Amino acid sequence: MTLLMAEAVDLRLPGRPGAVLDRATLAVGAGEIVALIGESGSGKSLLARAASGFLPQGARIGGALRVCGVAIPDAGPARGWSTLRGRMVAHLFQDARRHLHPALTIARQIAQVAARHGTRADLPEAAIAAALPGALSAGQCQIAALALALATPARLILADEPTAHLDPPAAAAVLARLRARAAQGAGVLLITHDLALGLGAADRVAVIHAGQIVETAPAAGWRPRHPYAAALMRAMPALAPDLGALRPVPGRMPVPGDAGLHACRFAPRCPRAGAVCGTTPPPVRATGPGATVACHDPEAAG
Amino acid sequence: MSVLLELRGVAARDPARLGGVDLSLGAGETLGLAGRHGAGKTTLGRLIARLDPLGAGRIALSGAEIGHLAPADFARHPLRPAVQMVLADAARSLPPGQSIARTLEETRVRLGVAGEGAGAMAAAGFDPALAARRPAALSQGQAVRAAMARALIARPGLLILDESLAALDASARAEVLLALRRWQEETGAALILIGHDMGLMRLACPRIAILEAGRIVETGATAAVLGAPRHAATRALCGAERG
Repeated sequence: MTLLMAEAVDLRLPGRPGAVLDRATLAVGAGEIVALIGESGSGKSLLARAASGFLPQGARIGGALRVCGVAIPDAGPARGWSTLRGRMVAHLFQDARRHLHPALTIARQIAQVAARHGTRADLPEAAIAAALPGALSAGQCQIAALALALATPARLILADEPTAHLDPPAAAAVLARLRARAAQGAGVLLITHDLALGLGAADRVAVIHAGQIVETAPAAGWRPRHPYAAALMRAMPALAPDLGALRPVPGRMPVPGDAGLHACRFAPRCPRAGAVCGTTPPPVRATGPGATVACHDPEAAG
Repeated sequence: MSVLLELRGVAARDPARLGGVDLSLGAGETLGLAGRHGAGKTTLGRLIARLDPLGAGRIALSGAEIGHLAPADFARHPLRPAVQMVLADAARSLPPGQSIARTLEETRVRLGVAGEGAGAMAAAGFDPALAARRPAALSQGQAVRAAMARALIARPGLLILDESLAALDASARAEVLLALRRWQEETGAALILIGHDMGLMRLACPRIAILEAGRIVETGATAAVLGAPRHAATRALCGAERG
């Protein structure tokens, strides 16, 4: 079953002339972790927010967006969200502390969630469980928020940089818990700017640039075909053999939502761009099983 | 390579947090300081930068003993500009009520260093078009670079970055790493990178020291230490590298 299905999703926010998500197509199936990878401001968090209804007032969603089979209407204070959130979809926010109840201990919050859903909850280590959010570090709040999400029966987990404030052993533990949940049939959308992390933790990767998903592919043995994905690969310290091989992605990412963007929003930064890239939306080509690239002139298969 | 920094038996006020640290750093060298949360990385960085009082030990910078100085006294010391630390919470370390340009200029005047902000902004990869903004109007990544520019305007012989690169996107991180490398080549300055991104350590730091429970448990050439980790803390850091 496809737990998150975005088909040509356009997202418009009030006060922004252009679409902040432009024909975004992405699926997260049961049992899989899909990493959504992009730079800051690329719209990756907005896609998750659209799927859990945490968009600003006046946001408009075009195209088709379904969560656990339920069509997501235009965002807003829709009552329908209470049937989805917690029951079907759980959202781990990057600034986890702000989304925890400030006046209840973590153990209490987890117990309440478990009681509401009739689930059995695992508590994090005592130092976290017994504390109020204000007494915890940013990383500990992320661990608490994960425990809270896993105490719900949600089948779709939207995890926004869930390891951003954690050291490697703690990050590995968080990813292992997400993997265990996926093994029980959940789908996980893992949002990260860290391509190396995404490749290591996910079954499939999707690369987003300025609100456009430019490439999707199985993580194992992935050789990027889109020039942006390839450039991102060359900019990863963890993947470069030495400092001399490190190449920042040229130029600056255009701001999604601005007016007058190129049809392919990577065109102004792209070494392969031609005139057509500025005027005609890039065709989405299938490049293999579960792999797509949205480009007029993708790089050759490696 | 001349010795820039020499630590002998350095301990924090609470020796359980950090103790018995011996470390030396050559001019122009780049050292990685890695460890799990709470291992003492930031504590050690703050002691070297003389932001916190020493519990025990000696710290020599360019041959001059600075370990005995209280932080308030070091703040007025002629060697103060020579060691700069960018704190992990870079955005909050910048004065909130004024523009980045003004903060840079105040720093320059206060430290009595020549030059202007443009070079420091370039070395930190900070976009000068954003210099008129206040910290709150900057993204986290831009705030980190602004804090780095403020540190670099002092023309330090030693720059300590506490998790500064973790806040940056992959591409921005590559950009800043290369800018720092150019800055080091031009100035001969030394760099201490605090963090737990072992991929970054491998790439940017020829030498690494692993901290665990307030002690340096392993140190040496980064490739050797990470290639054959001897201490459990190092293995935990490396083993988790690929998630």
